[in-house]
Amino acid sequence: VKFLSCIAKRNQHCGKPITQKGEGAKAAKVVVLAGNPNAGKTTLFNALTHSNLKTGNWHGVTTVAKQKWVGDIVFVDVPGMYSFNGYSMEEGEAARAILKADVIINVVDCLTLKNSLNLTRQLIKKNGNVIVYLTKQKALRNNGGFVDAQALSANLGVPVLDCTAKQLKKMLESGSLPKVEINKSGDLSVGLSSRLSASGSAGGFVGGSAGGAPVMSVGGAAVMSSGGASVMSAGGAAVMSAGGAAGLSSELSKAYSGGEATLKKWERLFYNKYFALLFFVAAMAFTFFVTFYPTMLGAFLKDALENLIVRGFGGWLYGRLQNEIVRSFVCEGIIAGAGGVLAFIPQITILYLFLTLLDESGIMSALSFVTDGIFEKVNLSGRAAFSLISGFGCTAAAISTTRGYVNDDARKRTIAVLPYIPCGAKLPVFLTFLSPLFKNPFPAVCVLYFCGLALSVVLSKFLKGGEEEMITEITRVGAPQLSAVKNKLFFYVKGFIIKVTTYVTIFCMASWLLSHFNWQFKFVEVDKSMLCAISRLVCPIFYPMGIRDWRIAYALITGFAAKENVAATIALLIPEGLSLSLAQSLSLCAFLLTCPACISAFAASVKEVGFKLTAKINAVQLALSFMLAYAAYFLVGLL
Amino acid sequence: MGVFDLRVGDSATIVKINIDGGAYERLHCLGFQAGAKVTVLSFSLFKSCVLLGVGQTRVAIRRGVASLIEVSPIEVSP
Repeated sequence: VKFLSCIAKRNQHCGKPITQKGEGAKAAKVVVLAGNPNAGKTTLFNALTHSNLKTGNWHGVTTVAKQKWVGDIVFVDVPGMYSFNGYSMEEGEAARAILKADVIINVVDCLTLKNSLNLTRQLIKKNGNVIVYLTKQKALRNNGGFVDAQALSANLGVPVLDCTAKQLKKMLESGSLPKVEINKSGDLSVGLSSRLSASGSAGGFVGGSAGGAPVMSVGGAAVMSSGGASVMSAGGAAVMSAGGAAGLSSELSKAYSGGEATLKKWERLFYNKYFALLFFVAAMAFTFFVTFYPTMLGAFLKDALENLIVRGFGGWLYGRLQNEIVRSFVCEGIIAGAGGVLAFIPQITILYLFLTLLDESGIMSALSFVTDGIFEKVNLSGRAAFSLISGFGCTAAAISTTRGYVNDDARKRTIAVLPYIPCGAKLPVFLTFLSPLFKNPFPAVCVLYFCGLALSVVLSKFLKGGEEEMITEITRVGAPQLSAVKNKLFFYVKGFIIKVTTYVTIFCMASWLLSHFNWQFKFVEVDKSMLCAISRLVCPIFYPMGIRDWRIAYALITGFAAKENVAATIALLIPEGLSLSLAQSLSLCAFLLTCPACISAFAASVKEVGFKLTAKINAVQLALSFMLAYAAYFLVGLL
Repeated sequence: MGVFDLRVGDSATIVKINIDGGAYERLHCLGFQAGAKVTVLSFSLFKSCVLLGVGQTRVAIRRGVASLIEVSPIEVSP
């Protein structure tokens, strides 16, 4: 026992690096949110800590552990896990974080509670201070099921809460958790007798946590060591011995019922391969229609906003500013450049709204199942559908979704083909290249987006390596939660605005300075500037695309920092507007569609697969995009 | 017989799961055990994957792994 309590102490010690916030080494509670995938851990984390981590209605959204301090509590959000014998990479990460926990909040999805208890039992074994928090109770009720938190609590021997996140937070801060009425005949409890003799975990928790002191009291520590004992002796086999979830005891059936298990009519539709695929294509086409069709909402709002920012606000400033240099800097540099990109907010919002609805309604999860057959042909699995569809929002974010994959080759392959999915930031640029030629860019944009999707799927066929397996939970199809949709949309649009007003604006300022001064720092015409001299050196590689204007060449290069820069730079350097031939326009679009993604996607890729492979992928991609762009110009020129 | 021999809508009882390691662990945690009842909810495009219902849980499983799950069909009384 001495040895074991040493281990318990060491475990506490292990938690130290997490608990220390800079130099202020104040004792703190480490509260880890653990549970099955898609139980709602990140949603709870966001509510408890006022964060905005990415959530979604499918299994495996969170792929790395994240932590945040609130008062003297460190909340840790970990990827979903089914057991401590991890099957995928993220499960291992979750298991490591849990070892450092003072308190574990086991987030349990009411609908799949029966399976979740498997993990709950394992968690109680590892750490006595487990609180079970129930989510999706409304969905359970709609399904005709019920859950009795008190009865469940009596069975498990730990608190089971069905309160709101706010109430939970209050309880954690004050340390006043409900007392557990332990049911001795409870066949679900784990090592209960030993825990009772060690003064009871629930009592230990409440006593120890008062006044913000470390949760683990002496009694609590004893609980942990005795709980640890069974884990030690049984080793990895403990998982199996915990008892099958299928053996639904009479005790449990009094406390819980999952309700109706059959599919609803509309669910059956979305799992039908033909309907699901047709629905996806139709929904995409409809979204593009609303976003890009000239008389529709997206394009209409964009024009209105552009008028307001560039002509309205910009024009107003133009009249006020007397100094020629300042006027050019503010109006042509910042407002025409960054402000022009800001005008794309309505269109980006509509596009992202569509993606969020697909995700939150569970349709994306159904699609990942249905399209698995396509992905199997290119040695990927339906899980890649999540990654690719997320890629329409942001490539860097999509890259980190590949962590849930089991096969490493499949991960690398997905990361290599992801940049071909046009991200949200490419939208303003496509429109910049297409609008000089097409009064109605809707058909062209549709073709480009579907080309990108097809290209990424086809290309992964050519990349060698092992196949991805697929054993994945599929979520229910139903009406999306509007609050989740609203939060995600708001966060995404806010991110876009912040990026444009900081990053892109600074880029515009730098571009303006370089393009309006010569080497002697004299204010000159754009054609005599430093930027012109530098850009002319690299311009020849764009000649075969029919691009002889150094300003377009420079704009394309700025895209590697952030794609929004391309549109901003063109608006800044070419105020009179682009005039392109069809061949030039298509060649530019081909280049933009296939060229490597931005610097943040590069960084995300380095984090996942290392610098060497990332550099290799990007080099090949760059060469390929030039060849494609050259070919497009040549072939369209023949017509 | 394997789950892939069933048709959409059919239910069966799991007899044996001939897998070990991580894949078994995952299936076990999702409720796949000898004696459990599974229902075939759908097949994916090109029949690469089957969607099985086990209690409230819905799981997509590739042909390779799914064929290692031995089942005996449950006769539905008319």
